[in-house]
Amino acid sequence: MNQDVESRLRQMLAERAESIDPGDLHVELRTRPPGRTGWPGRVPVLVAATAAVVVVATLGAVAVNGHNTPSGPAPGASLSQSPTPGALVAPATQADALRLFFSTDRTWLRSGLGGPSFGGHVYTGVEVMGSSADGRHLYLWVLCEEFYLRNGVVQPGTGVSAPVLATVTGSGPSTRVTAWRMPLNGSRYAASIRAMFPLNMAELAINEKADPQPNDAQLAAQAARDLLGLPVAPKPTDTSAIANGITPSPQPPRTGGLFQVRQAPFGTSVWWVNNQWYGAVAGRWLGVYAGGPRTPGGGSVVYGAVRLISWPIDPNAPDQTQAEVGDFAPSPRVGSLTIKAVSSTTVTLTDPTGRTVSFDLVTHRFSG
Amino acid sequence: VVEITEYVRDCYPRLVRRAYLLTGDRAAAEDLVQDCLTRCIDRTGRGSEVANLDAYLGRALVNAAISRWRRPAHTREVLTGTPAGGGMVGDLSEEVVERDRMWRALQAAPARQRAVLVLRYYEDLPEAEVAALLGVSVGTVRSQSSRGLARIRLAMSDSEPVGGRP
Repeated sequence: MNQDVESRLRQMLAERAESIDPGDLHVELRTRPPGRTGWPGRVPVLVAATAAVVVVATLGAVAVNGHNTPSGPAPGASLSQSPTPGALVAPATQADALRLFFSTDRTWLRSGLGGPSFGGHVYTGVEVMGSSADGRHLYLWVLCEEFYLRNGVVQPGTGVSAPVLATVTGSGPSTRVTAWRMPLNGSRYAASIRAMFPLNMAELAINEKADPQPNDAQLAAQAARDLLGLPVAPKPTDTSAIANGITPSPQPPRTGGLFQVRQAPFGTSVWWVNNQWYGAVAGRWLGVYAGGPRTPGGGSVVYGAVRLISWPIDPNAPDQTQAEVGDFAPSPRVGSLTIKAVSSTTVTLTDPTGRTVSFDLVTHRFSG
Repeated sequence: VVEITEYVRDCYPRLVRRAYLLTGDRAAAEDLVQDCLTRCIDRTGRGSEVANLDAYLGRALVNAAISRWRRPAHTREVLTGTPAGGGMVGDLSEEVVERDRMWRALQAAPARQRAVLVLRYYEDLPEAEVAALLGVSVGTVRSQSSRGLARIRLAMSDSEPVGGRP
């Protein structure tokens, strides 16, 4: 019996270990850029595709600036780094801050917080969750995603999606962001957010109840347009901007196609996404996410499945509520699914063993 | 740094897989490897020699994985629900269910016991090496291994359905 348990344990461990594929990760060692402040000579490691965790860990090697005001966050609980001086001019009210984020090129985010590791271009989204009473601190959720072109396909590079505390000084047109802070890593993450943000916003941030605009999918679509040489679209609509009296540009038509992007509008710690496809199907804009549900604790994919979510085709329609169509799995079970091609309303998918199945986007049935 | 870069390029997948088995969570595994590499680079940046990178990182990884579970429980994310199941077809096969039970049992084991099982049955290290890596006696490795196997055996005979526990 013992031998049997040992052998099955060996097999299970080997399978579990093989179920994750860190082989495509790119490792790059970076040295301190000349002229940057707040980087005490360490050599952080950046590993792409581990996104927020890695960037936070990298910044974890940065010295604490201890930059506070009485109404601001608790000292020593978070890490900060000074942006390039003069990179951003920000009025200190929330409405002005929103205006700022929708009108600037967000250089400080691109160059400092979520810098590229694959030589690609960094796209950013942000939600201004609030500001301190004295207007000295902006509570943000920041999304930075790098995209680059490889073999004619838009690929995601490094990225960060995290709460950020921006500290501003001055007033009116001379207001500047002087520093930003990110939460500490790992088990210290939640506690450091509570120290950075007011309680109500901290809980939202810890539970990732943030909606940075543009979102992941919109950034990927924008990157596809830019990198594949399509016309550059104006910035997407943001409801919080409208609420603050800012007139947004109309949304461009939605961009369809196959995207090798793993981020999704749901928690990928419980439902893994290998890639995704967008297109108009039966009068709706359909998102097809291929992958499968994961074992508890963010483990391996239990079986292959697709998840469908739909939106109105018109990106400027008043009601942009997304509809969760459902999850669909082939029978008999297959492994984690990846979209290979989409023809009309038929999606061709494969699992890691090479088994191919087809899924009809109208009838929601698998075949093959 | 150049040496570490080359080493990481070669060994990163192996380190992440080991960390994954120790932590049960891919993101935490990558985090753990990242922390250990940063510490190693920091150490070499201060002029300290790391004679055997493999041994150094192997030990650092196991120790970090064990230390991770000494931190307060409220800081750990525990998923309590199963994913939305609308439109799902069929049941999990018996084999998948059993392996999932074994995996859960492994994750529920004390960190040192889990490390012993991973090092013995995934890394195939002899008891003496596991003992050296963990800084414990060979006898402790044997007893931890025996208790760990008993735990796995119990899980395999457990009839509770998958998804029934938070």
